[in-house]
Amino acid sequence: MTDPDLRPLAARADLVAGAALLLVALGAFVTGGSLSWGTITQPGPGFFPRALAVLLAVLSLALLTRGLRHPGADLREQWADGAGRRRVLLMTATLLGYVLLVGTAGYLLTTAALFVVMVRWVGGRGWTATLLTGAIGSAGSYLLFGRLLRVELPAGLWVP
Amino acid sequence: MDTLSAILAGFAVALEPAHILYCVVGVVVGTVVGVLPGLGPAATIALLLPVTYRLEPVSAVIMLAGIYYGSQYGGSTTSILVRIPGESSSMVTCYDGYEMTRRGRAGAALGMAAIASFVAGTASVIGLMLVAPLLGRFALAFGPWEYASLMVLGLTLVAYLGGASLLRALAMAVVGLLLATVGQDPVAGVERFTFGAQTLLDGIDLVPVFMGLFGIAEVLETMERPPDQQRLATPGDLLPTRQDFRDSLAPVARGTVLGFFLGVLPGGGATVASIASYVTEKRFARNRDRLGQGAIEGVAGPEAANNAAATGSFVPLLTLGIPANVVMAMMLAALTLHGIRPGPLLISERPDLFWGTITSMYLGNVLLLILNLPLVGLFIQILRVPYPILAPAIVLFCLIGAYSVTGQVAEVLTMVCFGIGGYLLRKLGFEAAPLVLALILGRPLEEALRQALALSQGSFLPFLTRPISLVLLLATAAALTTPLARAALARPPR
Repeated sequence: MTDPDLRPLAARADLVAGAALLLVALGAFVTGGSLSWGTITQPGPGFFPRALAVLLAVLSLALLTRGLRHPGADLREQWADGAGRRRVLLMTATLLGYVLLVGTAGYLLTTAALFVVMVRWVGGRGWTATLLTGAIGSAGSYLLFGRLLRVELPAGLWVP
Repeated sequence: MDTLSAILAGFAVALEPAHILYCVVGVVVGTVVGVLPGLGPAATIALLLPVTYRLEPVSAVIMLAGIYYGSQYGGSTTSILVRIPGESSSMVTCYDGYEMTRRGRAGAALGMAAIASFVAGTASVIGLMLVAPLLGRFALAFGPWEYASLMVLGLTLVAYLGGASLLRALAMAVVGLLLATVGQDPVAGVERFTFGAQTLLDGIDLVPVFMGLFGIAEVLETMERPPDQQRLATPGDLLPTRQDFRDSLAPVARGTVLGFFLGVLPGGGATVASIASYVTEKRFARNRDRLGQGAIEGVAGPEAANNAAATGSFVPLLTLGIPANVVMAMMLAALTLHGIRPGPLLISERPDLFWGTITSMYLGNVLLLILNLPLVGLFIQILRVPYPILAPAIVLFCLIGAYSVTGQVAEVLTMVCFGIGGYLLRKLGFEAAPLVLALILGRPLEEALRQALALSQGSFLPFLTRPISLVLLLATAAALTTPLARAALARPPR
């Protein structure tokens, strides 16, 4: 951790996390406001969540304080470089796309598409490998899980 | 000699051909799952839950147990060969195991990992036999105060041992507890934080969370590296040398005892145990200066510890009905699916299941040793599959695993969200383990707390006047304050 380039990032790690957690704590406290505290002998549904929200707020303030006081304290790694970040973003988009489409397009087609994107564009493999793994991956997993293990997979448009 | 005859009856159950078969299936699946990064025993057990529904309960439990301790054998393989832990409990094995590989001693490391696992696994089954019935009786004295204190201690320990920063780990634990409050509240059934979503009524399911935080986050993080950065080392000599055995004797013994007791504690489990063992070896091993540079002690100790812990964690599950970790929560789900309520009465109500499962672990450990030593060569072949092709398979396992919980796409969405969240948390240097554990313990903790307060008319005093509870809380306080322990354990070894 002697690399000076890491410093601003490290300071941010505690600050970003502290701020985000503080928001979560406030959100939980406010949203939980409609729930009753109950009494100390009969704690209501709002008791535990709001006690936790207060505890989280305290911890996030401590994180923020540490982030301000010791920039560069402990960050594990840097963020990825340009190409790496693009791969991660594409992968994230692919996963969200899968969730959106699997209900309507069905398991087989969406899974094949997942393989195509991951092997071709994220993994940078050729088309032969892509189509082969796509076909084997979707059909094979369908047979294994859908048929053999009888998991109810989303049917959607096309199911044999 | 009640216990002895019970053990013999247990062997009779475990040695039925069908049960041997399920034991074999369990340990083989466990080993494979342990080898595959991003697919852990919890996910696998979740995946196989619908399948086990068709089995009779004893077979189901024997198989699922085999998956868990089997994965502790397999998890070290990838740690040693490619520095990717197959399981979080094999994380510390990376340090010295991979260094050994780089020095052409992969065979010795892999062999010692299997042998240490075997010794610890077998020894802790004996521990389980001796301690479990005792703990079961002890558990009857547990009121809501003791349960609450126990869970607080467990949460503190995992937060304390599990990460680089105590503050961050505690914050994660509280986030996990908050997430556990989503859904209907356990006492009055009032909806909390559901935002009108039907799926959230029953709370956030554990499987999608786990698969997201570990499986998907792991894949996302690996995607940062260029696809062709996969390197394999060839194992040199196949078995550990006599000197290796001599050096490993004490670490294995220490790791076994440490691992077993950490496994018994809720919140303990294999990961914590392996880290604790590594820290211990850093202090006590004969070659402690060489640790981190390919010392066999750094493989033998943690690998013994994680196996002992895997066995030890069955104690609280079977005798108290409290899952000590995520995998045991899955086991609890499996048992409940079969209408079995683990708890103090399990030993007397279902001796066949209790002793049958425990004795099957003997058998399983022998099988695993026979399996693992020669199979090392084959596992290397799986890793030869390029990551771009392995990655979609891992993602697919996670997607199916999450979906199969309730058969709703919403579960998959939950998993993807936790996957992205888990990736960001890793980038910010947060550990996911405290969050997952808190998510598991959140509901029972709240229930116990509210029950305790109602019983004592709002007084917190019984937490301090009841001896067991007091001891547990003192241990919690010690864990939080002892600066010596903090210096030794709060920082992960490098």
